[in-house]
Amino acid sequence: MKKYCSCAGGYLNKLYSWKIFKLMRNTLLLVFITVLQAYANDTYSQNTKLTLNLNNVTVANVLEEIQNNSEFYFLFNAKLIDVEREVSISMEDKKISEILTSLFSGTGVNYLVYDRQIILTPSDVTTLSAALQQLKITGTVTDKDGVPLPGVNVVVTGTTVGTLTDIAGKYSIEVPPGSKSLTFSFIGMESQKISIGTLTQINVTMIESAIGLDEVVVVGYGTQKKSDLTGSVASVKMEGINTSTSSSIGQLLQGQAAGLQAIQSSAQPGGSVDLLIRGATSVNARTTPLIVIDGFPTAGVSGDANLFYGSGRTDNALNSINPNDIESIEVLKDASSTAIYGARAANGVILITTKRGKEGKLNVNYESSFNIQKFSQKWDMLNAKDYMIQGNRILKERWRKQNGIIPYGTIPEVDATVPFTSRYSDADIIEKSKNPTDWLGAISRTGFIQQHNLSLSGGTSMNQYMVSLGYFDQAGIIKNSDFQRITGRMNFDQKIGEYFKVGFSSMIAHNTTGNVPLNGGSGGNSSHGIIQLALTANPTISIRNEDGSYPIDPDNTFIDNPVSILEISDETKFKRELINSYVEFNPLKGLQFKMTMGYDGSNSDRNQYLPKYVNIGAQTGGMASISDNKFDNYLFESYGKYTKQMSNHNVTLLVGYSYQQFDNFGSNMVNTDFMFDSFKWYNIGAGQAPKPEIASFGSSSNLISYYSRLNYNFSDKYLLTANFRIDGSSKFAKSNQWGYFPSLSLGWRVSSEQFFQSLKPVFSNLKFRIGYGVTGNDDIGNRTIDAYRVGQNYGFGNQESFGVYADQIGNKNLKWESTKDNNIGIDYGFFDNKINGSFDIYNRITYDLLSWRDLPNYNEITEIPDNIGAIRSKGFELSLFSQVSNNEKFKWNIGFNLSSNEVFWQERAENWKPEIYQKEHDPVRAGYYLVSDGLVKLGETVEYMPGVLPGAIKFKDLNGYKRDENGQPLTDENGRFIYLGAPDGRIDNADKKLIFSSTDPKYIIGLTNNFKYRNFDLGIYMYSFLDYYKLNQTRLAFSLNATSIIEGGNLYNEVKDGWSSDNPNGTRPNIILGLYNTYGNGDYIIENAGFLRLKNIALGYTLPAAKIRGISNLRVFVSIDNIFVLSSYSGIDPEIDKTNAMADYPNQTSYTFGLNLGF
Amino acid sequence: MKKIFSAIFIILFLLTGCKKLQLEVYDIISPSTFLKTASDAKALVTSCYYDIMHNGDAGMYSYGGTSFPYIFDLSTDVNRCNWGDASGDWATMSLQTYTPTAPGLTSNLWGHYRNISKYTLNIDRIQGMEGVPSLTDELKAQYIAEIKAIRAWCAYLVYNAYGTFPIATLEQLKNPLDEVELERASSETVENLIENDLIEAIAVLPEIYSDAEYGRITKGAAQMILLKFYMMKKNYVAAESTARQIIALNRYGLMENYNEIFARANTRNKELIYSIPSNRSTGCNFWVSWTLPGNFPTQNSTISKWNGYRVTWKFYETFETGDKRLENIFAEYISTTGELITRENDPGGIFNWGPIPLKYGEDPDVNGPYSLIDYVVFRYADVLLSLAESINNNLQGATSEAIGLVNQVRKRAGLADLTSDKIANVSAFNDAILSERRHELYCEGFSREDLIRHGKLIEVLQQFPGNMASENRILYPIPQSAITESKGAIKQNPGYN
Repeated sequence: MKKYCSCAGGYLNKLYSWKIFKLMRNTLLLVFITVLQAYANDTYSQNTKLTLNLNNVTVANVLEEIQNNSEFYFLFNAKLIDVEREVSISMEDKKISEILTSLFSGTGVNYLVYDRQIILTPSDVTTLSAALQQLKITGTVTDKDGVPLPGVNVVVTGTTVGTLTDIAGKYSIEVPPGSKSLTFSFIGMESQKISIGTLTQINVTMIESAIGLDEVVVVGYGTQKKSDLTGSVASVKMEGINTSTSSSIGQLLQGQAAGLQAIQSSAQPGGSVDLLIRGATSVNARTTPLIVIDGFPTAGVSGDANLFYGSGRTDNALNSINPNDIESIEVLKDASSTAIYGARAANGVILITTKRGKEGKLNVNYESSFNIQKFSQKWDMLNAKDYMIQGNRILKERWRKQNGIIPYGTIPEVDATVPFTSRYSDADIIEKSKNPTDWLGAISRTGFIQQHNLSLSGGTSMNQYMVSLGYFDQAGIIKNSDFQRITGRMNFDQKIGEYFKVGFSSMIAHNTTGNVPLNGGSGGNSSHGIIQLALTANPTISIRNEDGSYPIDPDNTFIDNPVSILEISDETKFKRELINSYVEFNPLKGLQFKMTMGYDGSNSDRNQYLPKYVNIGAQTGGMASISDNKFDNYLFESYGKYTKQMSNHNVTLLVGYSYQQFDNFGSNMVNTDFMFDSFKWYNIGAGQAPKPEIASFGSSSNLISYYSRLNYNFSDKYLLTANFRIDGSSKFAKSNQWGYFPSLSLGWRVSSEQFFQSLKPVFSNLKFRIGYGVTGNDDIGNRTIDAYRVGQNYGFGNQESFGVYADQIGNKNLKWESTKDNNIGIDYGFFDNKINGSFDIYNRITYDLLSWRDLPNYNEITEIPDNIGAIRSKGFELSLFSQVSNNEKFKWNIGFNLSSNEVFWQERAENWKPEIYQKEHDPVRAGYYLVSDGLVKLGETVEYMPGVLPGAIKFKDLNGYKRDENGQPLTDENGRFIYLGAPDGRIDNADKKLIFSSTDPKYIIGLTNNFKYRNFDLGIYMYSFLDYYKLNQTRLAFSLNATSIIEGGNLYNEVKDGWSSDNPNGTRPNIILGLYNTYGNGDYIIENAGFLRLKNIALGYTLPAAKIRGISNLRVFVSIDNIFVLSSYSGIDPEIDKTNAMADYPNQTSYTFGLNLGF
Repeated sequence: MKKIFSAIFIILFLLTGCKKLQLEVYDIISPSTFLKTASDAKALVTSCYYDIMHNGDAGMYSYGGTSFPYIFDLSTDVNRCNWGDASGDWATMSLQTYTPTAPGLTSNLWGHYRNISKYTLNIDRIQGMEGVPSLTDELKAQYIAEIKAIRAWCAYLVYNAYGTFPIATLEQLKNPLDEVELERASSETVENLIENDLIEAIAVLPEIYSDAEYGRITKGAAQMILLKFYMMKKNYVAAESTARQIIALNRYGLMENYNEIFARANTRNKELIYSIPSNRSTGCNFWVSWTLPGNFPTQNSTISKWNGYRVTWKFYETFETGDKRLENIFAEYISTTGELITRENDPGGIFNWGPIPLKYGEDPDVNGPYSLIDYVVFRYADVLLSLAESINNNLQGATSEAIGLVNQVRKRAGLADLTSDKIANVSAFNDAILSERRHELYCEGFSREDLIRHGKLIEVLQQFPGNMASENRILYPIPQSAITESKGAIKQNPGYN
């Protein structure tokens, strides 16, 4: 790959600059090479011919000239090779070997050509050493596959004495008496320190480093060395992440990168993950990050249509990428790293880099895993017997209330006009609880996942390729919930002649999702998803009648039999094609032009048939729906890049242009009244609905951008990055279409300073970064135009007539939402970077928020899109990596990250009309609630809560409105209401308080531990959310709403603790209160959902390479996913449970067996 | 070579900059292309009808959770609902425990005042359509009259619930970006708006439409709204004359059998002055589903049964024995599983609140909740009883005409003529008329205004333990959010401060 080499070459050039030689005069120059292939390929050195004409220059100049005009680079010890010697050289079309022979003949310098790498050694090294009477140590250095590594630095620890390994990986070194150990180092590998003792032969296996200072990270439009970064970027390498149980990379990112909040929003197969970088920085516009796949800024994909039943929360965008195809994921967090993406970067950018072929031998890899899934926790519902006992109890309490019996009135129970008789007699209870139905059991099963991935890659110096095929098949733990994915990926890079390079990459994904109704139907009669149905179903009813039909609870006839729901057919077929191609042109050294053309198209077909087995099907005579959603995204991009090094000054300038177009189109149709269920949606014309529904919609918009970036680096110590991007969006009116997004960041590598060198043994790396930038957000839909809409219809003559209404007041002044971002960071490393990491703090202000300005309520349209107010987010991120142990037998790495984020109002809308409890700078996603104070006791009267029942939730009367003589609330000069400052004998808004600051977690912590002992490896991965609040909707429905048992709805077991006249010490509210209290439920129902999850433990065993012929690598592994969650939250999962939904798809514990086979 | 490549590349590079920013939205209507034909005007009028009822239970005048008649009946002894009945929104309505920050179901009603702005603007939009050949002067006048009738109807309902409310001028509405904190309009302004709109509409509206247009507001329907308004104002002189005008149209009469009024077979019957056309797309009549308990036997077994509505035992007990209107109020039944369900054998259960008001019949054809029986809004029996009450109050006594009107209604219910004690004086006759109205029009949303007019609301409500009824809580509280939004310009109703 030319791109890669030119970048790495630039780095090496710098190392060779003369001043660095001087700077490091007393230090052995550690020369690193980037990636070496297992097998030598000497075609380059054989085929390349060079022409040199130099007079009276130093040898160093000659070497530099060779490097500049070829892909060769030199490795040598500056102390041993005299490069100051003046020479003259004149060669025409000669091979490198001829040039070198001529250059070094008679000087005592030997050379070794290894592909593009040339190693210079003094021929008299042994003699020299012998004179010093030193001990000789020899050995071989190999990589983990046993392949010899040339060019590895071998140094006597703490001295400048050292050598390099030769082409066979062999070395020989004379060590001074008293030397304790040798240090082996090589770029991209962990440094190793080996004690000498009495050894004369030391063989070393180098291990690729998990982290490295000079790791290359992907940034917008290119790559950068980590040490050169001035922005805040978190990099997640996919190697070592267990992909066996996850359909989406989103599910793998929880707690992996500081500053990235990944919350799994559904545990269903193909369930989605909500990604946020440094919190949600917008109020109404998009808050999710921009996802860039191999340089293609994606714009979302088509979603599933919402048919009669929803399909849950799936994510087509991330589910269409096979995690196994991914090499690395970079999370760009601050404006200085994201501003190059300008208008869409305010929420951060996630760069996904897929695997590509490398020069070298053919690499075939097969990976397979099998996985069994079980409920991680089940809901605790009443059993059949308790169901009837509690039913009687709740009926009796309701009867007491209705008939004014004590404590609800004054009548003693015995004097009731209508006496109480139990619905279920004791005999009933015994009889009906004999064969209870396990409804949850009837709709669930053991989940199963199998996964197969096959990839093939390889290449020569001229072309590289990679082909992969992935298959993922999951049968979820709820019946009928399935997810299947077939992905194909092809990359091809080809060099054409000297100047050109072209490449193609394509990704195809076909996902088939079996949908089971998880959330409410759109009709008033079937608002229950299958899990909710199973939980609520009466346990005394059987699953099927003797004739095979589905019985329905006679008390609850509008609720479907949960098992009958499984007769519904519902399927989503999602297809995505992401095709990208480029032409690269390198006319001069350091100058590059690149043109990219791409297409990202997706199509989601969701079809559903509701047969007559289910209520809605019976009522409509069967309902078939067909829907189709298309999303087409076209990209054209070109940029030029120029890199120049002038002594210590290193400059890279990038200028580019981008055009992107976004089209979408969707349609759907619904027909009813089918003679046969067997048609499903395949014969939709056979429905006999008087007026089948048909609908379609569509829109198109585009984005034109110009961008530039300047990187400047002085002596590797002082770093500067400046970005400037101009975006034009068609979403705004002419005068506001263009947005300007600059950023500037500076870095100082303190550890490269002379004065720091004495600290280096302990403090091996220290860099300060500071950045400022502006990024944008245009994602609010099409809001600049006035619009009427069809849809307020009426049924004249019992037929639908279309009504048109004014729907939108456009705002011609609407413009970008902009985010000003300040970031300060520090990168640090201790003990040769064995402990390293970074710490960032940020403060950003999003202004001109794209939102809706409320118009006075009397208006026909009560809001207008506008740029209103500003919000401020602040937080910090800490990441820490530690290599606790790194000897050959036992290795232990720890990765830790912690991030915190808070978002406040900085400036409210001009016409903000606050409720009395809202303050100017409150958190943006604050929860305000009445403050509860236990339950009302029997006989207690709460003056300020007239009519309150015993056992109801009691609230605190904390404050009141200041009022005039008529009792009307007073306002101050700004129209704000004024607190009385004392309890006022009533419960109203003045008694509400801010209970939590955000619906997002404030702290996210991730911790990974990787161990390696001989051939065993073990990974333990956990993450935690803290300061995280939720309303447990499921508990509300199945515990507080206890009267639903009267209509045959089962309840949580904890309803036994509910307050009633015969249980006056009950700890839960009065069982007949129901869900909708006069004063609401206040903070009583808000729970702390902070948790710690032990997400994954994986144990692997790698068979030694030599054991099986024909196989280069075989690893088998077992893993357990989602082992436990520690939380005080009462629901079944603090992460999955959603505040606005109930009975979510339950989380699973998964047991995996897998193998990884390399040829 | 290098230079040629470079040149080609740079040209290509520059060429790419020629694209234009362009936005296309295909699923909305631009103002520049709208209101050019008569059918555009008609579509605008249709959107005003939408507010009467849509999706079966939303809108101002169905009998569901967001509608006026249902919430009005919940605030009396007529209707109760099983959903959240101990302390929920429904109980809040029945026990008058609503407050500005906990308004219960009344929170659904206040927002309707805003629709008046939409009607005002739509009238202006249609008026502004000049030189459109397909829009004749007659048609234009009719469309405007229809919107005015809907505007007056909406204003009457909001006025009934809350008293006055802010009314924006056309000028204010045309400049929505200029913020004004409007106060509540005066009673006079609101009453003039209602009266004038209706008088203007009555002058224009046709007495009847073609079958395909059934559901548009007729002259009779507009007169009926005006009659309700005059009754509410106790303007019995105007009420009497309006009632007589409705009768004089000679298009309406009583059905012979009470239950037939609400049967599928008799949609668009002669007793109906306005009914909402039922239609699967725009909204159906959910009454039967809202009401029936799950185990109540129906001929059409696929009807959804949500076990909601009841009439109270206390109200039920006010019916005279033999009243045929009780035939569809079930105090006991044999369940689908063959058990007899009564108040006594299922205490706390099905009959906890009271009997089941199965006011509407089954729709034999349609399954689920989607009954195609048009929802009844105004009917002729109300005209007769209102006329009787007006005569009684105008002439200060029960004339034979007035007594005859009431007896006409009683006769259909299978009841004997009023006994002499019921007509002994104005007050006794008023009581008799109120009682008749309540039995005749139960669960049609009129009981609250009838009780208020007769000064009996508090008395009736105080029968229920735990209620907060009082004379200064007859109007509903204005939601706190509306007061906040107006920065306190909107003043709260008395009784809630």
